[in-house]
Formats: sequence, C-alpha cells, structure tokens
Amino acid sequence: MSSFHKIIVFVGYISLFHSAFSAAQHRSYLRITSQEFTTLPLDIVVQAVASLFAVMWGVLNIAGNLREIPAAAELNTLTWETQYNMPSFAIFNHRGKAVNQSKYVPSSGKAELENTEL
Amino acid sequence: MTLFDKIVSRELTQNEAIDLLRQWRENNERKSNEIAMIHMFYDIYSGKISANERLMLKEQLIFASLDVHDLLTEFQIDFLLQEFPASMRVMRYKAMVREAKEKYDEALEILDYIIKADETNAPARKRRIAIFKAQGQITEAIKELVDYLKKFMSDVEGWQQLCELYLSVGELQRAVFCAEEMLLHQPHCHFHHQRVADIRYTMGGVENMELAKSYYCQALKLNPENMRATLGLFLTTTNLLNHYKSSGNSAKRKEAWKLSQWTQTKAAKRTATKKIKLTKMLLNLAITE
Amino acid sequence: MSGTTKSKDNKTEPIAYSEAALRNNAIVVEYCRTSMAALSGSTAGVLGLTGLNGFAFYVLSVITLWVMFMIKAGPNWHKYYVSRQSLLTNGFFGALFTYVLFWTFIYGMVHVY
Repeated sequence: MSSFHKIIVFVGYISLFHSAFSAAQHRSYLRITSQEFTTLPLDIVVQAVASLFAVMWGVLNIAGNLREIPAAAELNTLTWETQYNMPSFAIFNHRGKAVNQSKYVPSSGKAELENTEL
Repeated sequence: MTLFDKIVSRELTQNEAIDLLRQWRENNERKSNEIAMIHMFYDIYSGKISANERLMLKEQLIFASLDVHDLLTEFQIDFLLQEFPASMRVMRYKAMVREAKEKYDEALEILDYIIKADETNAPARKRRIAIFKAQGQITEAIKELVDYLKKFMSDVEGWQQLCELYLSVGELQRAVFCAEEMLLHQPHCHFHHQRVADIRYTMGGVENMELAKSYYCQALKLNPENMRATLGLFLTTTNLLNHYKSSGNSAKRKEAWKLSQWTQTKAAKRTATKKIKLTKMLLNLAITE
Repeated sequence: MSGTTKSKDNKTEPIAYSEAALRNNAIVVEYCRTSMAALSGSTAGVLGLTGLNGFAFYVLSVITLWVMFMIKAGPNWHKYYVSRQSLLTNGFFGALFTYVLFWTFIYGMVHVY
C-alpha cells in the first residue's frame, strides 16, 4: 500500500464527486432554461470517465499483493540456513556465553573430567 | 559496509531497522547479535508499529538477548510480566533464562508446573526436550520427543528435530522415517526430498541408492536451483555406475550414466561464472569409459 | 509455508497450486471487481446513461478492469492467474447487480434530484 496510490484514489473520488455536482448543476441549468437534455457537456464526461479510471487503478494497487500460485514458488526461495533453525528447540549453551560476558567462568562439569585417573 | 557498521553508525533509518527485524522474524533467522545491536542503537518501540507487533518484537528481543547471554534479560521479562501477570508464555521465558544460566533443574521445575497446569501446552514440552538436548542427554531427549510426537503428530518442527537427533546418534533407518513424515506434511518443499535422499545415500546399498536417485530428481524438479540436490544426484549416479559395472544391467547403467552427464553439465553451467573448480572435481570423481 | 495444494491437469503433467495463494488472489480480484462495479455504476449515473447504453458501459468497464489486471500482472500472468478467460467472465452477473444499484441511485441523485 503506497501513499502514492492512496493519493490517486482520493483525488479520483474528489474528481468524481466534482463531476457529479457539475452534472447536477448542468441539469438544473437546463431545467431553468427549459432546454431538452441530450448529453452532458464534453468536459464533464471526460472528467467523470478519467476519474473512474484513476480510482480503478488506485484501488487495484491498494487491494493487496497478488501471490504466485505455483506451490513450489514460495518454497523455492527458502535457504538451508533458515531451515535448520528450529526456534522452539534452540539451546543456549554455545560459545556465545564466553564471547559476550567478561566474567565468564567455565562450568565445573568439564573441569572434573580433567582430573581423571589413568 | 557490513550490517554491523551500518547499525553502529546509524546509517539505517528506523523504518529500515523495523523492516529488517520483521524480515528476520518471518524467515526464521537466528541473527541474535544483530537484533541485540539494533535494539541498543535504535529506539524501536517509538516507531510505526502496531500493538501486536510490539509484543512480537519484545519476544524476539528476549530470545536474542538470551542467545547473546545479555544479563538484562530478566528485567525485560519482568516488564512483560507486569503486562501479562499470569501468563504461561512469560513463565516459559523465565524457564529459558534459567536454562541459559545452566540451572537446568529449576527450569525443568517451572516447565513441569506449566505442563501440569495445561496439558495441551506444546511449546513447554518442546522446551523440556531442548533442556535434555542442552545437557547432552540425547537418548532422554529422543524418548521425550517420541512421546511428544505421539500426541502432537502434525508438528513438522518436531519431526525435523527428531530426524536430526536420530542422525546425531547414527540411527539412520529411523531418521529416514522422520524425514519421510516431514515429506508427508509438506510434499512440495524441495528440502524434504533432498533430506530423505541425503539420508538414503548415507545408508548405502543399491536399493537405497535407487531411492536416493529418485528423491534427488524430485527435489530438482521442484527447484532446479538446488545445488545440494544436483551434487547429491551426481554422487548417487556415480555410485550406481560402480555397482552396475559388475552385473550386466545395461539399461539401468545407461540411465545412471545419462543422469550423471546431465548433472555435470548442470553444475558446470551454474558455477561457470564463479570460477570454482567444481567441474574439475566432478571430472575427477566421474567414471569415464 | 503454504499448506495444502491443488492439481490441475495440463498437457504433460499436473501443476500443483498453493491453495493459500489462490484464495488470496481470488479475494483481491473479488474486492477490485466489486469496487469497480460500484464506481462505474456511479459514473454511469453521473453521465446520465439510460437503457442499453448503461449496459454497454458496464461491459466496457469490465473489459477495462481485465486490461488493468493484465497490466498489473505483467508478462508472466500465468504465475498469478489460472486462466485469463475466467478472470474476464467470473462474477460478471454478480457485479452487474451492484452496478445497476449504484447506477440507478446516482442517476436519481444527480439528474432527478
């Protein structure tokens, strides 16, 4: 949804309303001067049709993105780097602890291994 | 300029930073260092975000700060607790903090409490399995995961994790079963086909090689850009050619030979611009008549 | 990742479509079609069209909407739509009623007042 298209829709609506008012005014003018109504003046017609197209184009772009329909299309953009992450099962005892904390002390579990008797 | 430099020198605008965070969240990427740095250098919560997204950003930040072992994680969780006082989800994060500090017993206590209070809480059970994995008790983890999958059969992530665990202990037959389960759930994902093929190729034997060959072909049909599948197919076909040399199966031998040639040209085309000596390697590995 | 899929028989082998994407595109097309019917109905009312002229204008706006869909999709329209014909003729009569509604209403407002 870009604001450019929103502006197009807004301006188109205003223009459509304006042409509606112009047509109503033209009608009442014809009634006052008791003339037959054949067609509207050309500029009102052009304005109405042009604003119709503008609003249609704007609505089309606001309506939402079209997604590719072949099933494999979205799946083919995945990479193995993101696939092997399983966020619900992620564990935290990696070397990030040593890298990011200045007062890192290795857990005592491994130290006991170094004291084995041969 | 790397992403780090951009963040530190504040070249990214706030909206770009929020977009990056959203992209990483949707693509399941584990860029914890970058996430922590972005939150340090940008005041993300003042940007144009909805209330839902604010909470998701907070969760993302908690996970990332646990990954970088930031000591302020507890405070962030307490903030969340103030918003949602009796929430199981926040309690799960507390358990994760204990887990990061390697206080596994306390973490297990909290998770058991959550599971007892709510039998259907899947993420808490998954964290239990993760704790066993972190402690190195792979067999326990496998047992728990099998129990979990009996109850929650359609959890693709669970099957993927079980497959990885079986692979790490070397039980290839069961790993293949798990990979095939993943395939049943998402039949159009080329990764699953490739994974089944990888495991079958590792298992060895002519039957498995034939199966691996067909799975690799399917993966390539779904995604012609899958380099692993191309190389896997090449290795499988050369292996098959070795087998068929001795017995006189000329039809199968021809098929394997043709496939091998095809993958060579495909791989060569793909890497021609990158100047990798892949074609040379393939030529060395290939069986020539 | 997309959930269930649906096949369509082609010349050689079926193509699998992602149902979520198909539904999403159908929703977008339906939204555009309804708003097109409303807007062109209003325009027909403003222009003071009567009788067959009005219905001709409706056909014209349906074709214009179809052209706009094609422009938006670009050269690879088959990535987004299953068939171009169905895009043109689906929902023709449903939107027609909306069109007539707005047409008569706006005509009454503007010209009869």
